[in-house]
Amino acid sequence: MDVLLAILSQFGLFGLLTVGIAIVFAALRVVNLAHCDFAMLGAYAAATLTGMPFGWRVVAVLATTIPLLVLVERLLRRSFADGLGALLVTWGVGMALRQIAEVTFGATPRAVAAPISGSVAVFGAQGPAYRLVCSLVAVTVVGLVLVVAYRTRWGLTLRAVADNPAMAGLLGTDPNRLRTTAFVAGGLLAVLAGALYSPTLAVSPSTGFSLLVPTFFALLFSRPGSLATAALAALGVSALAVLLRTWLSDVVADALFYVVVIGIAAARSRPTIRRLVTWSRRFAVRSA
Amino acid sequence: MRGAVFFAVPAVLLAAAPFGLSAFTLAVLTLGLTYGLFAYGLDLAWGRAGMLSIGHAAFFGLGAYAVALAEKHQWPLAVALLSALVAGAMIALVIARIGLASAVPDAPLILLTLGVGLLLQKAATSFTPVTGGPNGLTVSDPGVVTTYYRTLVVAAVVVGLGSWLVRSRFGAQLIAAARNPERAEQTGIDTVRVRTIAFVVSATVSTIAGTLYAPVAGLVSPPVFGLALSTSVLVWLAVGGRESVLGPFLAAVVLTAGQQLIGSSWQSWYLLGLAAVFILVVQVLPGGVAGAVRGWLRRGRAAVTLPRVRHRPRVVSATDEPALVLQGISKSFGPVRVLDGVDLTVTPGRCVCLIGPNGAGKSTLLAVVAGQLAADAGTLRLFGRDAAALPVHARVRLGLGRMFQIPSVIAELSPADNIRLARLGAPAEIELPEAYQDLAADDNTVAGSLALADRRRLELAMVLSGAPRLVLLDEPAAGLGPDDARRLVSALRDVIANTGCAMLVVEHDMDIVRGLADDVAALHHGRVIAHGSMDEVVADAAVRQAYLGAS
Repeated sequence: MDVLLAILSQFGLFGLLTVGIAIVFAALRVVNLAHCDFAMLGAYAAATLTGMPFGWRVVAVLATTIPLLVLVERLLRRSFADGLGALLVTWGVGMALRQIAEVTFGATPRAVAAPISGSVAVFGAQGPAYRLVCSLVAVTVVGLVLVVAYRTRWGLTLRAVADNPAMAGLLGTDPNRLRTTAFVAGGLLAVLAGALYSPTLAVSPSTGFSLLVPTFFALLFSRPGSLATAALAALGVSALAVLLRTWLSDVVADALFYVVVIGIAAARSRPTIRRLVTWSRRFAVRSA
Repeated sequence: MRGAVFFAVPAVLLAAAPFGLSAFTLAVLTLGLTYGLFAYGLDLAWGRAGMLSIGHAAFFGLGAYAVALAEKHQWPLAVALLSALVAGAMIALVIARIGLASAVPDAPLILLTLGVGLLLQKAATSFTPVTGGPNGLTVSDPGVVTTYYRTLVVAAVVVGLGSWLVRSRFGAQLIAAARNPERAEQTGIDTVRVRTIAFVVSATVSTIAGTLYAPVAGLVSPPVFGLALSTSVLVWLAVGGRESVLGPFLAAVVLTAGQQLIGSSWQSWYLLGLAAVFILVVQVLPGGVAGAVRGWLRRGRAAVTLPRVRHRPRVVSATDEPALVLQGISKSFGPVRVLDGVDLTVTPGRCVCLIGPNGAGKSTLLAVVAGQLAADAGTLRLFGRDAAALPVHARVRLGLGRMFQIPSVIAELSPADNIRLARLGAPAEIELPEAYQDLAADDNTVAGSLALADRRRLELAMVLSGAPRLVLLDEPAAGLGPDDARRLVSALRDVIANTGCAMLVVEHDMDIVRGLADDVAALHHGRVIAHGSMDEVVADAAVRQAYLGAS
């Protein structure tokens, strides 16, 4: 039970981040390497704006990062024709954000007090109350995003632009406007993730960056443009990370996490296994 | 000659540097040189092979730790260096193979290089008894001047070998493979192999740079694998300019000197400034300083030129076998059966046109023959050899040539270089027909700026330069006006008459089919329903049924 709660909590974090980065990737076809550094901004807001209640801190940071996200998206648009160029810009933006945080707040990690103290027992497992609350909030938000993506007009447009931006443009959507909205929406999810989970993290300039690799792995394992598979992949990555940590020491678990995930990536690239995967998918289509 | 002067002046200045500089300045210059070599190594991957790595410090760190560990544990230095080089090369090999298995290798490459760097950093931090943990290991320094000359000599030798490599036949193949893998495969280049080798060489050069770094720095600690260094080397290379030798070295030396001068309390600000410069360069000056200079020197002409490499003729055994024999070729996409047992034979010197309604499977069949798609069942023989399992470039080396529906040439090279590239992979040197001589002599434009009809002409000239024995064409007249189309048909007939090669053409326009075809094969629902002369096929009841629905 402990393990399930830990997976739920980890999934809340990775799920928000992965779905956010997947939205950006769907609309812009760019892996946003600064994505998790936006989460770091959210975490710092929660750590430093101690004058107001926790909930208001989250709202404030969400509101103030919108102009920043719009600005970054404008930067990206300049080098949009060259996919690698846009990628490098996000790398530069991430680096700049980390350095700004270091210059402003220093490199020492900070702790954030949880707004809800105490612990609760769920099905016999004891855990901090805030952890449970923020996991539930995060998972709910992930669910809401999926509902928006698959049940609303905006979600349909997003999936259309992800699939074929030129065609979507001809059908009357403005791809540029959608890209801005998607970038802001995806970035806000990351900011929210950082702010919500700040009490469970040691907040430092590299907080966001340490989340980038698992998020990126989850994105790589999902189908481009499909948010549902992104959420699923995030669940898989969180389960793997948590399980390894329960069985092994932290250092070994982290190392093994990379090894396992790189192993899966290697296996997926082998033609025989790829064929097996397509074959099983075909089988699934037929039986459906 | 001008190139020699270009390199001789810096070489003399560098050799004389210890006589005019203070010990501190010389140490900074040495550090700049090792970083420059590191950036030069990254250039082989990011610049020359088009494979972006944002964790290249992983390889650099391996080299640095090899030197430090050998000193700490009294291991023989040669063994430690060799193991670091082998380990770096193996890691690079695995990363490159995984990355290149996907059509767009950028994201997997970034992730894997990042992951390996973080993993090694963690390992170096955790295994304290061996690596000294977070504090790292100290390395002794034999003296500023000795270290400087050692660094200079090793860097010069490595750069010399690297320059020889990129000017060789391999370099020519790499230029094509990094820019247009599809067309490169069609000139017989194994693009995955070429790019993998480039990535491994890049990792090796970076490892060597790391071994030079250890004595210069005096201390090797986990951040040597880290993000800051990986990012810095990206910045040096981006600012200095890719596909250049002097650019990355200059940028590394200048920026390293800047970092040393600015003092440790301002390091965060320095890195912030570096990030801003990086964003600015990527957006405004994608080619870096070297790219800007090159663009100014070579106004309007191609910025990239193919190294002049001698052609090596290859022996291809002549056969009397048919050029192409297909038996029972089937191919399904999910539940849709696109090809359903195709039998077809093309004999040398014949032009077979494939006709059929939309969705009959014509383009799929062409892709199966070319090797882009693998058939689910059936046998495929090219010139008497079983070719069903051969990759695209191996089929090209058997004598297959291919033109695409949208002409595919290497847009950054001049037309003449495109043709030179095609000749590199050819079994024999072929004299191009008169009509293509203008393209073969054109070194002053880039192929990407040609008009559609000229680009198609260039693609055909490239295919012909490869001395093919079977040419596949997918709607060669699509998008051409009637005059251009007629000219193309007569050019193709001339090719068949002069070289005796066979052709398999997908075409919709019946006038062109009539002008071109010796035989016509009609495809419907993934099967050949009629095969014979134009008149026979047109008169065939099944064909009329398929096209018109009439009986």
